[in-house]
Amino acid sequence: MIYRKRGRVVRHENGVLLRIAEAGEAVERGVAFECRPLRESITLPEVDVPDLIETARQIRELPAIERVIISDGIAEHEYGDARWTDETRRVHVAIAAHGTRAVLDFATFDVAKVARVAEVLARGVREAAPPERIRVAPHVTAALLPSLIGMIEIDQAAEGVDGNGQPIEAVQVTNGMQWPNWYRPSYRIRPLPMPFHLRARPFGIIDDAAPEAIALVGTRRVLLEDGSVVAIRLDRVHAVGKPDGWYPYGAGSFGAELML
Amino acid sequence: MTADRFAIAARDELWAHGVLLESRLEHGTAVLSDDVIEATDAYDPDLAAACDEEMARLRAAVASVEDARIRAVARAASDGERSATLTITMRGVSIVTTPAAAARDTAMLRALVGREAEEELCETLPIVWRNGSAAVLLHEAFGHPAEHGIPLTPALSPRGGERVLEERVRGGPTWLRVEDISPRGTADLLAGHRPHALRRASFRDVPLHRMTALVARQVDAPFDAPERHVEVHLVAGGTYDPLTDVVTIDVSIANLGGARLAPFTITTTRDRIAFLGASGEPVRYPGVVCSREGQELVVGSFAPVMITGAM
Repeated sequence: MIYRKRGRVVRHENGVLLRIAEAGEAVERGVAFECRPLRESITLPEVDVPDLIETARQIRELPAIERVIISDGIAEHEYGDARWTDETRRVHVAIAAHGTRAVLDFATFDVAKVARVAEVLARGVREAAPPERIRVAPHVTAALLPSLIGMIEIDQAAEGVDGNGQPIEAVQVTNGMQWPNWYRPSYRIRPLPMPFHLRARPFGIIDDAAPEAIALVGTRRVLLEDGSVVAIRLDRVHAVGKPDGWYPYGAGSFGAELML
Repeated sequence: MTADRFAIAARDELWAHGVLLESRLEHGTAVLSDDVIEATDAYDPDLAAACDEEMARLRAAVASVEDARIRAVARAASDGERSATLTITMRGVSIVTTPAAAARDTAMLRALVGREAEEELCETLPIVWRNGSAAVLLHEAFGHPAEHGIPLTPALSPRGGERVLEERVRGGPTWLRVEDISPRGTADLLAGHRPHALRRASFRDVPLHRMTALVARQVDAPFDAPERHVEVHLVAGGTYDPLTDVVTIDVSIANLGGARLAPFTITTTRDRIAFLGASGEPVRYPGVVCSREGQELVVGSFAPVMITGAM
């Protein structure tokens, strides 16, 4: 079967604004994957840019911003008889200061969380021993979830359709399992089986008084709200809070507070 | 208001052991006006035809190679670019080559990967960079900092006297020249000059000042290789982090004495790279596909045999 995608996206990339309109198709014939542009005009509505430009402006004014990529798009998909449309917003920010880099990804135009990390990093950081308990912020947990498969109970949440237009079913995710759904971030990329919408099952008690980890700054290293950079271990999760926001890691992860 | 139009057609094929696995065609136009780029997948028949010609050359060059994974990329763009690039991988080791050099480079790769690793590298030793591989080190240590506009950190060898003063200004030993050569001009990377060419991977990317062809030359360099040294023949990749000034080089094929080494990684800050000597004319290194801001571009790479201190 042939997969077709028609889309518009506006992307702000480090001060340059790109308005992109394109359409393409992909087909798998045996082991071979082929894709090409459709050579047709795009009839989708224009993407509204003022929100995007204002978000970019606010982030670029923050201290220690190294990279800002913000996009807003709309796409129509078809695969066989299935038709679906999606709208996506993405914010990718790298903040770098004092030899430390934090990378943040959001699916909303959320400046407040970026500002908090930028201000902490700009004030200065110090390596420190990890405190007894760490409360990991939801946007940090979302990035860690794929590494927590097999350590805590994680589900694929039932939501929307996959890259082949098939419903994404609720299923518990375990290491080594065959992922039931296919991820297709672009018509130019061969679809891959991947877990969608990872969501950790809540358990235990979140200690609101514990220091909060507000950004990942390396492999198993986090930035705490007081400017400490500490190592974390993922083999001792003491509690998981309620789902709090969806984040664009892989085919999606829900954030939640996490007690380490 | 000024407008700048860029159009491109590109074909990309992935073959494994004679079987076509992936085939991609893309074409499009980008019009830059001030800080806004309007990009569409418009079709230009002349560029598409030029691109198809390049792909035909690529396929012909590797038609008889059935013991490798091959990625063939053909590009034709309105700025005059016509490129045909082959990435050939055998036993996990890759080279990047052209149709004209494919037969020679493939034979070299086949010979290099035909030998199993015999030792792990357990100590830091001086390195002799053969086969043009020093170009990768220079690409990371001087090329990327120049692209980023980062002040030079002097790499000094030998140390002392007036030479040190000059090296502090230039960021390298006096016998070394490292330039980026492109149709837009030549940039002295050791002086920290930014590459002139604005390059992009596709019509939907932001053009950036990127290297086109790094060429290193030596003039009356010393060349006295320490008796015990590592000989590097191929590298798998490299990175430069502008935040930490750290250069990382993943070495895939290297020898110590007569023994083949297992792959290893060099991680160092730029100020700890000591260029001890060089010999001969620049040699084309088969392989730099450089990725920055998610945009993969081929960068020509040429360097003489070079010696660096232990890292």
